[in-house]
Amino acid sequence: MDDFDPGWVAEHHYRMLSLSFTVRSTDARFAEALGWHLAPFRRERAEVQAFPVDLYVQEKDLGSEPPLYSLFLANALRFTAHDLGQVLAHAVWMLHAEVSQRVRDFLLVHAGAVARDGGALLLPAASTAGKSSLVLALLSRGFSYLSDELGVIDPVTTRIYPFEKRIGLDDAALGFFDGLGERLREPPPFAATASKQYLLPEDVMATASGPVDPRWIVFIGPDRSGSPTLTPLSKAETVERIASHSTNLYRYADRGVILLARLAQRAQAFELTGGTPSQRAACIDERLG
Amino acid sequence: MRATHEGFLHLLRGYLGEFRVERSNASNHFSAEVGVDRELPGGKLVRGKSRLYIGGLKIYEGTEPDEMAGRIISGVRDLATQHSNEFLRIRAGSVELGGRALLLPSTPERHLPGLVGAMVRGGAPYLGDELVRIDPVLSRVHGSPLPLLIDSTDIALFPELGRAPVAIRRALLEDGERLGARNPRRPVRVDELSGRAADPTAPGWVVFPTFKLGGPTGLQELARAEALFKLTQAMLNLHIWTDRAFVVLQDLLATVPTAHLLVGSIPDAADLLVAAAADLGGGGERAGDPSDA
Repeated sequence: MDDFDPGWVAEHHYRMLSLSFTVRSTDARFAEALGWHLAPFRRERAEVQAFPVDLYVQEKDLGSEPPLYSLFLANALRFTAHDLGQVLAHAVWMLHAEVSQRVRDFLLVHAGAVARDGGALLLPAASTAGKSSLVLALLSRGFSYLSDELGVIDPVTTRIYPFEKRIGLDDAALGFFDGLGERLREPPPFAATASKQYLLPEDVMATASGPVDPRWIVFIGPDRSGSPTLTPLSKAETVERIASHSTNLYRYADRGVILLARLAQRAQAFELTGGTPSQRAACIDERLG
Repeated sequence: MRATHEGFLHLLRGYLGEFRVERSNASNHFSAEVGVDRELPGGKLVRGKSRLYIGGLKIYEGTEPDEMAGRIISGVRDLATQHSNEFLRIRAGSVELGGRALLLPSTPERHLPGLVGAMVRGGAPYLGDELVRIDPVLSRVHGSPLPLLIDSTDIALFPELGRAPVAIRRALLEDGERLGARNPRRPVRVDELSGRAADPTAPGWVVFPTFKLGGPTGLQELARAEALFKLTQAMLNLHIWTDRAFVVLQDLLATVPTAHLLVGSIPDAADLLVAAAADLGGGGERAGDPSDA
């Protein structure tokens, strides 16, 4: 870290998969709120080659009322706003996006992921397909948590690693879970201005999982009408579909396809259509036993 | 790359020409201030001093354009590979012997590229002079497409190159630390050694060299635990792979023989490795083809 000091009041270290960074802030509430979102990734000390993530009011903006906050990533300005809640939302989004862009030692798939009995269930899907709500519904049925956003595949062992970010649900998705909103613990700072509610596995009595072997892959289809249905997929179709959901397959070139073939060899794959999150979770629970 | 003298860019094209592009939005700029030789009255030649900068940081000062080109290639290699964490990056020389990769992991060692160069000249396809990447999916060794960077004090081992040895002051030669810091190295293309580059290759033998030039040359046994320790030391992105690196490295060492090599003479060591690899039957036994999905 450099000697630059505009009046830091907090310095916290994090490692998200192999992405290491140090957050410095001149606002204690921002540091506390970001610390809540990133708590599973917190480290005691700065990691090797950690890059800085800084929040402060630039010298040219001193005296502005309300204060104009600037957010820097690796010393490059990424966002400015008067509303600290907006800056926080951008910081959370930005840091998760950086993982997808920078991490290369894992093959990453846009997917929810849960685990049971030492086996992982990957849920590859597009952004608005309902990954988070299905993950939450599965956690309510006794699965343990890996991620609601990324399937993290170790190229050495093909095991699925956790990326235990907070589970983000919009109000519409939260409506599927009766009474959950009222049962939640005290919200984190700036929660009132956030477009999503963020939950922990503990909120539905679930726990986080360590790395596990891949056992099932369920592609979440866009069709939510009717009862939930699981349709088996061939190994070849599984490879093709999961490749389309990978965020960094190009880094691995042909070797990535071999890795995905190994994954498909070790896991049963299905397409899921129809149903509410709870119905889908019940269908998966019953079918996969 | 920009220079104050076209001749230097021409020299560099000889090494990096295949990577040239017409336009670039590169954020890394090498700037070479090329020294011009002067002839003093009486005929004495004074070599012009050249300087190389990356951004505003001076990274070379000397009188040998060839060494300055070596410094650029070294910098390019670092920039090109420092983020390639889809591989395990190992500080090691490597050639292909009998269809398998011989890995020569090492702490920073200026004579290592000379040893690799001697084996390439002897017919071993080239993988890397001091940096290789191991693919964690197929366990193959991936090499570098860049020229070897041979230490200026070892260039005399390759008379066919026709490169005049660089004069290095005796005081500097005797101060290994200072000499290492100055790092005078000269680029040598694989084809200049009548060699060729190897495709990604499964590892077959891991040998840890120790250079004590003028001393004896020989192979010694090395316990697998010590080999794992040394291989871990040679890994450049252990902070990325952490515990998972040990799985890859242990698997690698479980399938190939290991040894320690004392290097008293670079040509003798190269001959010894080639002969010993032939005795191993192409670099050792392996169970199955790692490309099997």
